[in-house]
Amino acid sequence: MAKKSSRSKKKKTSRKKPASARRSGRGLVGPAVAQGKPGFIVIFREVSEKNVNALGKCAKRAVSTKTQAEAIPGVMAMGSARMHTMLGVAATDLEEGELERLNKSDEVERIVPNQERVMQVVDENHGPDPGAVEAWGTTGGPVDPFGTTGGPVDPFGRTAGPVDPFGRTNGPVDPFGRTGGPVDPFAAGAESLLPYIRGYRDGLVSLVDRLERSTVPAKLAMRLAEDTSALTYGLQMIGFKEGQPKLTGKGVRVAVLDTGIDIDHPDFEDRFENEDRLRSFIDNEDIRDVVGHGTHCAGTVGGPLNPTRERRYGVAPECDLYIGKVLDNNGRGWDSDILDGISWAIQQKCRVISLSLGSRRGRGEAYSEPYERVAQRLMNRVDGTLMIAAAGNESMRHLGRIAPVGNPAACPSLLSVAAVDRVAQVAWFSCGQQDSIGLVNVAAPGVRIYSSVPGGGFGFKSGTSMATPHVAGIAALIFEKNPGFTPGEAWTQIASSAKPLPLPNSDVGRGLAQVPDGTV
Amino acid sequence: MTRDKAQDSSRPSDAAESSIVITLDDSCVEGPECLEEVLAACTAHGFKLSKQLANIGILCGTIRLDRIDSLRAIPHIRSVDLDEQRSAI
Repeated sequence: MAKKSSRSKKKKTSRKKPASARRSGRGLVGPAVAQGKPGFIVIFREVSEKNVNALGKCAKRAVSTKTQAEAIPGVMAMGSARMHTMLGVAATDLEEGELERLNKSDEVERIVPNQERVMQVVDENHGPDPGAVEAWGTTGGPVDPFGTTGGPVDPFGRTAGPVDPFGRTNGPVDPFGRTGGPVDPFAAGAESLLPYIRGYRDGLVSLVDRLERSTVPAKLAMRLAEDTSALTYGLQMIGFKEGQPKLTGKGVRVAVLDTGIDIDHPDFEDRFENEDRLRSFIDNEDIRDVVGHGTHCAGTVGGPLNPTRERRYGVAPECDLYIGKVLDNNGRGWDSDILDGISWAIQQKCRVISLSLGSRRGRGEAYSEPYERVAQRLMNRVDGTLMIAAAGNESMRHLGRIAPVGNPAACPSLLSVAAVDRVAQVAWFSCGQQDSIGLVNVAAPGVRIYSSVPGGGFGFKSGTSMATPHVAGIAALIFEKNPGFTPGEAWTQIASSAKPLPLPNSDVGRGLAQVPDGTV
Repeated sequence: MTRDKAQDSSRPSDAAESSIVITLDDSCVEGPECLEEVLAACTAHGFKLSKQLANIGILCGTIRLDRIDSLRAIPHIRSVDLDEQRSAI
């Protein structure tokens, strides 16, 4: 404790420095240190015993035997650090070297400054002066082509100002959260309102969620679904029963744009005799799936009626699968290659494109214009293509964090799919609606989903990636039943026939997607 | 788009150039002449084509960062975006 007091005293002398993280004689420390609080919050990837070792090894913290913290369940004192063992989080001071070592640790997800949260009251005397600026929130700096303002910006609106170790720019923030350069007095005044406005928004969101929960009858809550020898739990939850289905997606072309496929998998024997159905858009990589993601997704869309082993896992077993490899052997791909795959799928007259891919999108950040334009053009054509995309896995709901729907799922003309588990609870990782841009349209099973994997075997995977092909398969069944449907009509049917869940629309959209009437 | 995100996720290219995706309006999807005209105009501004996806109205390629604004002024161009990276999720 004596050590900590000494550090606090030292920081007092540099209190005026505005940066949230700054260097002192003792190394890199967070702003909270000046107030005698731990400087950083270390977020570990998992709740695991390994976290204690990682903190001990990287930051030389040992488990204390007799401290006040021991009296708190789930909190372990490690020197000046507090390890919240049930949350996978630690609060601690860190020297520069310790920060670097922890950042490189496999166990650590992220390190953020320990920030102060306060409830603020609006001070009328410090409000904005509307006469001082042309319009709300405009700033004194140059305006980039996307309308963002502030400091020097490149043509994509990226600020050129200094960035702190957490990727945040050091300049003032305007009322829209934009940073980088000089901000006018109006914007500077409005900045102080942000915590209040955010609190107001969060309160409203919470109220809406509670109201939505209370208006859905409890009897709609799902019972526990289990894989059986005949069917995966996922197929059962979307409406399949044991026995021969009447709709199988026969003749409907579905493109799975992903990491490729194991064409030698016994369950796909004879499915790709026509090589036109396979195409790699990745330089120097063939269609083979070494990641396993594409084979798993393709299996959920169109795995066979009678698999070589155990239960059925394909939603539309007789659809015509078209496999485009748009993600490389590390599971990553560029828009230009993905759009190339979409162009190919449309040329092949695929009615459905399944996109179990995406990238993180910041709250309020725009949707991706290229994907939106393409999907919008196809939406009302009789021979058009329905594009279905995974909402994203960036949430950590067990820690109270819900991430916004990513791109391209945030595009309004792409059907966005969230993931639920076997009791129809939203998956902890599933992204949700956090702004007016990225919505969730429907949900589907996406936790521990059984499907094909490379090498001729089968395995379980979780993600909104696994939920998405369930809905792509359902779309194939709808097009089989209604060949004249436009993608817009298929979308309407998927949404209107979804089973309501006692969960907020912002998490599961219209509910759990269901196979069309007459499938079983 | 924030600076850090763009640095992380936009496609690396020549130091002075950026990989971009150009989205054309509907008239260029319906008529090849329109697309050719737009492409010629883009090329005149220094755009180097890598992919022409005529059926979905998309052009992919590279251009110097300081010339991107000039592309946006060309008729029938709806948007110019960075070529972003996506992942299996």
